[in-house]
Amino acid sequence: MEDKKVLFEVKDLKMYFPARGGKTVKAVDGVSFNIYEGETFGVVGESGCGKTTVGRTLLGVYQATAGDIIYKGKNVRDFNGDDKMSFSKNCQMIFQDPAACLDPRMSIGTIVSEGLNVHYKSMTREQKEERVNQVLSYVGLTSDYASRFAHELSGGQRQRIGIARALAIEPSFIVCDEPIAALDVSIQAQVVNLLTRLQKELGLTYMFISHDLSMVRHISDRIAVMYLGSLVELGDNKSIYGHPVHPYTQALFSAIPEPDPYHSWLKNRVHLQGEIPSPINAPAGCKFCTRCPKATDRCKVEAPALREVEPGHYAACHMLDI
Amino acid sequence: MSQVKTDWINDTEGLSPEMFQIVGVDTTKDRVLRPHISYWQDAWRRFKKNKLAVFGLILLVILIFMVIFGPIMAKHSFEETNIAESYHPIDGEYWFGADKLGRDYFARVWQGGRVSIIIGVTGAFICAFVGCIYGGIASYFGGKIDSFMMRIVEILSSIPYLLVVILLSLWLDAKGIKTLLIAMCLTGWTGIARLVRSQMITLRQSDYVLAAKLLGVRPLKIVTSHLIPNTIGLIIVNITFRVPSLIFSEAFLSFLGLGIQSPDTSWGALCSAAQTVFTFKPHLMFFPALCIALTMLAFTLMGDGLRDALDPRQRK
Repeated sequence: MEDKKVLFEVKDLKMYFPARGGKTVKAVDGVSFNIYEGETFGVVGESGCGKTTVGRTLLGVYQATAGDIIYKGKNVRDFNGDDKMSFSKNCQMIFQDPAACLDPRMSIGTIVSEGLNVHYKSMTREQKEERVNQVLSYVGLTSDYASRFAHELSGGQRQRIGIARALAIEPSFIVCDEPIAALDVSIQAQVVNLLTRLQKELGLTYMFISHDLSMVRHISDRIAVMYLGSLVELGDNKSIYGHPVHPYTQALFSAIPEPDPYHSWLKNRVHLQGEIPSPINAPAGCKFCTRCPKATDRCKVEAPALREVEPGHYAACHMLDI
Repeated sequence: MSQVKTDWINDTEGLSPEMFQIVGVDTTKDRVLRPHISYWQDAWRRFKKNKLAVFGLILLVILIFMVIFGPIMAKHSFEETNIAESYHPIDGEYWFGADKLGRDYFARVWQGGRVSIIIGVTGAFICAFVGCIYGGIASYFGGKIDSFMMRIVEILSSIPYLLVVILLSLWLDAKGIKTLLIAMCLTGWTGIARLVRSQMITLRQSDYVLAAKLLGVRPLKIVTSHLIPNTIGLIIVNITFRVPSLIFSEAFLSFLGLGIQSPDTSWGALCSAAQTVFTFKPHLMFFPALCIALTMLAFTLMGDGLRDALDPRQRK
């Protein structure tokens, strides 16, 4: 991992939103990680744990409350106009809801060429058309589709248009924000295979946000597990899925459906009690302490820091001290 | 938990490669055969399916035709008085009879329709225009400017327009189309301003606007290419619902004597004049009242159809 170039360096990122009654929602509360060029960085966690917020803050949709995002050695806070343009050209996003991410009044061709009009102003109309057809063929659609409208397409096709729109301006990094959650299983496979193929062909870097644990395992090189706005475990695919050390990760992975009813790990499934606490008043100390089967008194007062349990594998748990 | 379960991959008992063959992929099958239709074509297709809405549209076309050509078709001018023909009954000469001053009622009804429909349509467009700009600005800036602008809207919409009309006609010392229009538009745009504001706020948070932002599209371009086209359907529907209510307001004000003054006329003014002789000459009330009712019905039916046709969620 060391020889790889760092694309994003995220340091202690915090994203708070104001809530009713002067309270704050701590959607992301002190998250640090690196994303290396050419890898797929998976982010998993329950609904409401801040996965999407991390992705969006990374792309500058939200202004981070605190912490730094360093893109190719430069802090995004210090970006000037040109930096911003090159950042938006290079960093794109694929959305969760394929129905909502396409403007119903625009033809597919217009949607896909939207970014070209911003970043490739010198292109002639013919060149743009050619480019649109090229990206449509990347995602397995014919140029016939350029004159169609979103309502004429199926969910999977719409999602592929969303991917084509992001690809049209040749980005190097794409945040995939639950790109498969709204699709049925056969289409999920289509889209995921498409994403992996494009990564190989175009050398893309992905941040793959999902709550589908099997899919993240399939596609990711490194994985971050989030709980209530914090990272609980971070490591490469093999070590995270092979031997998760954080109790939350263990519980999460034991919830993956198992096709073999006689399989041994069904016997020691971890069943979590209770609901995920609200990010408005998160528990003090370790955020997981209210539901952790191994919680001690220390967990309730002191928040554990992320520590390296083996090279490249980090976890935040007091149990690892012993 | 470390074991990767791959036993099922090797569980191939009774299967051999010969049992499988590659069927291939037919790439021609993926071509779309249905002729493509634009958003507006699709809306028109759905509008046509709605029989009531089409009925409304036809009714409206007939009414507009009559309003334009009715006064020309009549045998007498709408202003031409002829005391000898006072309250002339319905016959081949006076198709709708004549009023107290012997003016041709057929010509007067359609002449009055001109005023009513002009007030309804221009009023609705002025309201829509002002409301769109106001609502758009409020939603674009948001925050304090938005809440300040919306408080103004609340204050304005709480003033009864009747009061405004009376005050305005006193102040301008004139009763007529202009005064009526100013008075009704002064308070009438608030509804559409609210509507546009809320729609724009919803749209601003939509994924495709976010996608456009991430692509680096400038805010003004986002407004013109995403926000306005997606609000226009809503505005059109609102205009069609606004027209009948304005026509009715005009009729109501003219009925009270605050609107159009003789010899010019409108449907409301005709009804007002007819009420004194209603017992003896009920047809003088019937024709303008029927026209008001039909126009309102036509616009409402058409508006209903348009709302269904332009709403993407209604799409089947």
